[in-house]
Amino acid sequence: VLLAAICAYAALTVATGGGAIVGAGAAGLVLVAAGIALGLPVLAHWGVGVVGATYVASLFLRQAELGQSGVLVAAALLAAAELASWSIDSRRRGRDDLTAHIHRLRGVSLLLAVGVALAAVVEGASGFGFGEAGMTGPASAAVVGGVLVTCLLAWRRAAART
Amino acid sequence: MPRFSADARAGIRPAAMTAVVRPAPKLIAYTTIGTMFLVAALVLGRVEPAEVGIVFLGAVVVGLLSGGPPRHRLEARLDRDATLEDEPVTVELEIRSSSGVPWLEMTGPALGQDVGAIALEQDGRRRLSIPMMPRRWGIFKVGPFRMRARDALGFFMFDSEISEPLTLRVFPREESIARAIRPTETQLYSGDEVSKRKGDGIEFAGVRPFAAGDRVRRINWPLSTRMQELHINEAHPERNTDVILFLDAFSELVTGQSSTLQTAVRATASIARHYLRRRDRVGLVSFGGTLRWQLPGMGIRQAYRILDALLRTDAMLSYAWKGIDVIPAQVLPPKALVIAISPLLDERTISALLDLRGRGFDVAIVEVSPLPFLEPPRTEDDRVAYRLWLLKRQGMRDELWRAGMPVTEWTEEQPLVAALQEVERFRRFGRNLRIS
Repeated sequence: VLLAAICAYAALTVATGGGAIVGAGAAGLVLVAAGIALGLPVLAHWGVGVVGATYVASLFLRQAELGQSGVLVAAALLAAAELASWSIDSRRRGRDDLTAHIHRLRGVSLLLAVGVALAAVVEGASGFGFGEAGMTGPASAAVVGGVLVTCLLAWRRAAART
Repeated sequence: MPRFSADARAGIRPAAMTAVVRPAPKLIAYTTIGTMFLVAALVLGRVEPAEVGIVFLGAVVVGLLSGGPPRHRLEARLDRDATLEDEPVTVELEIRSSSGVPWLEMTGPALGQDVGAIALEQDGRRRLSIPMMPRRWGIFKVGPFRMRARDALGFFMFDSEISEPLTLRVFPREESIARAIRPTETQLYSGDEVSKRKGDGIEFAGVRPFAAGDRVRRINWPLSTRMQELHINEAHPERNTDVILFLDAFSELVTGQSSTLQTAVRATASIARHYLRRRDRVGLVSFGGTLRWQLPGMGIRQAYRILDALLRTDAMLSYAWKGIDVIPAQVLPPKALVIAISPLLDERTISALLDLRGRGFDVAIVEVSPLPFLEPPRTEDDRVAYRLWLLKRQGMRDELWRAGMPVTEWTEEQPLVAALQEVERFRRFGRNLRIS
């Protein structure tokens, strides 16, 4: 539902190329559905990625001003990906412990909260003039670099612990 | 059959656990998606893709920082390591965790889908009992037992397994036989079989004039008084017998979950149990691609030896010609009754049985009928070929009968004792020829 809403939003907000947006979004939805049905999380995640790409394409097509939808779309995409993972992990005949699902719900909520907070920070920063001053590129590059370095450090730490 | 008690080794086994850490697919997917959206933000000069990207990358960072390996241990055991066909066995698993595990699932081939996700608190333990139903006899490996733990956010998978599987021995289901085939000859030791010879025993055999050395308590006084001469009662002694079970493992017809060999092994186990109970000596020859034998013996230990040999029986394709000369001589004691359990599909078995009979052994054949394992003929040509094949089999049976070997056809739906009694009828009324 979340992904379909994003597709519909992307298709309805463009003047031209709505059909292509709908087609790409539907392909993403099919990928997600197939991933869940077949128990292939990679397929589901890339389906979410395709739906996100349709949203980016719609932004490119309509050349819109900066809106507030970015945070919501980002949160919806992450929520959809997490729910797909959760659903695939729960595809078993035996009955799961309720506690396991409570742990998982807690984890998904934490990720969503952190994600929304980060997205809000990025949106807030861009709204305060980074974009107008031509700083979007360097700022994004800095974010990418920072995230990659953090990922690397965290990965090494996790590997060292195991 | 003796009652199977739980083996002392069936206790909790300190099996070594191996553990591997793997990134979950979503870790790689989120990192890639996040990076791509940030690159898209750079290319398009818009902040919205960066927001999407930062959400996914932020999730990855949180996952990497929070993900630690849980400390847990899995122990597995069977409630017993030997059972009978169609008797349930329980696999008992115990999982302990000193650190707590938010999500744990079994991933082994046998149990993986039957156990739901488990969550363990710190210093928690969970016991799982998973019933299993062995459908056929054999030696089975239960396991390996694998489990997969996930961190709280699901970015890492910690796979561990007990690589050493548990061994379950499933003995064949046995049919109670009240009376089996009486051997023509008996042996020297005491047993339950009434010998045809005369000597000390209970069964009355006749009277004869007294001879020096005869026991006085055997004198038939009424007859001696009438005849004015001492006569003594004679009796048939109770002796044991030697029975050799000849299992044909050259060929096997399989349909669904059943096969001629499975059926034959069940019959062999039932017959062995019957004779061992009567204190007879029972031996086994598994005649097939791999020759196995068990020297004749008696008692409960011999029952287990025979069962163990039967559990390892398997039909193995072999084109090598084998005769009875490959069987060690001590496996076939003189005057032994040989009961062959065979679908009579392989020429080598038939030849070996004729050879045994030619050497003077008392041979009886229980034919495990292959007919229930065949698909019915569909075309007219198939029907003709099928009829010809049946005629050929009947001819082969007649040849065996002429050689003095009673053949009785048996399917698993019929009681085994009925088939064995057919052999008895042959002995009583049929021809008893000996080939020269």
